[in-house]
Amino acid sequence: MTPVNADDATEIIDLLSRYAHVIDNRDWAQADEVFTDDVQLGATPALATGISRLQTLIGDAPATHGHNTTDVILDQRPDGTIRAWSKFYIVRGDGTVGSGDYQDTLVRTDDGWRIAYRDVSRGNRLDSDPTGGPSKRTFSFASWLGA
Amino acid sequence: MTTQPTIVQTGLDPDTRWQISEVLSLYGHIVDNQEWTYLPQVFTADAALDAQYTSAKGIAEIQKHLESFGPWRSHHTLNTITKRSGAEVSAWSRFLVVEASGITISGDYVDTLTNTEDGWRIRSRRISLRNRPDQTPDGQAWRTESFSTWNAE
Repeated sequence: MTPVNADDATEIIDLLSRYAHVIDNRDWAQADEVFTDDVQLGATPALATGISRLQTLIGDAPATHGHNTTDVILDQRPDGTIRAWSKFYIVRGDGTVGSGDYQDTLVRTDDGWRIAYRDVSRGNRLDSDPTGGPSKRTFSFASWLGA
Repeated sequence: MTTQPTIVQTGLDPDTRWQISEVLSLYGHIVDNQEWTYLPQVFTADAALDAQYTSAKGIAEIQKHLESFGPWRSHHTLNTITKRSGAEVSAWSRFLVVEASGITISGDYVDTLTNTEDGWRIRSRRISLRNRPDQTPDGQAWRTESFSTWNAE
């Protein structure tokens, strides 16, 4: 793990927080403050590329399950990009909480740090989970550092 | 008339503050993914854990305690405040544990971190619950953290 300096870390924490505000408010006009134009979303390349694809995936319904980002750790890569691993939790209308993880590749653009690649994992969820059913953890230190 | 204790704020430089933040975040990633080989990146070899009704000393005992959580919970560390304590750093954070059922547990971590050759490491962690007041094993009150303790330590 190669440490990232505090200036970049401060900006990146802001960036990852901004993701949640943009997504939860469907504020697509702000999406270019968060993502690169060709952002890849998910590990399957054909699945989702670009902000317009994200808009299609998420739709227009207001997000009542807000995303809250925590536990950011960063690895500096020799090519200048940064691998970020953060945890999130969403709060549902009934007050229950769901937790998951993000692993990202961040690039520095003329306008600051942006997410070029974001992968999401819902973590370990039971069969009874109300938003999407069961799942298992798919991320690891190896996937954070090695991708 | 009682006077409020003065809140001691001894600022850390940004680099140290960020390094401390990462150590505290690493804990949650290690515990939730059960990747125990990374524990020495968080704790000193002789680190002490005090969870009021359980305690652990050294990484092997700490790992045993953390293994008992099982793979269905998620640990989030947030709201961290820090101060210098001589050459060491103290950190007071909140944690949020998300259970498989979606129900949550809230509590506090108070840590003492020491600067080793490999970076900052937790040498002692005190864990206290907040939102389970009626569920202690022996009917005693859960320990609560406060600024009186924070300032005195």
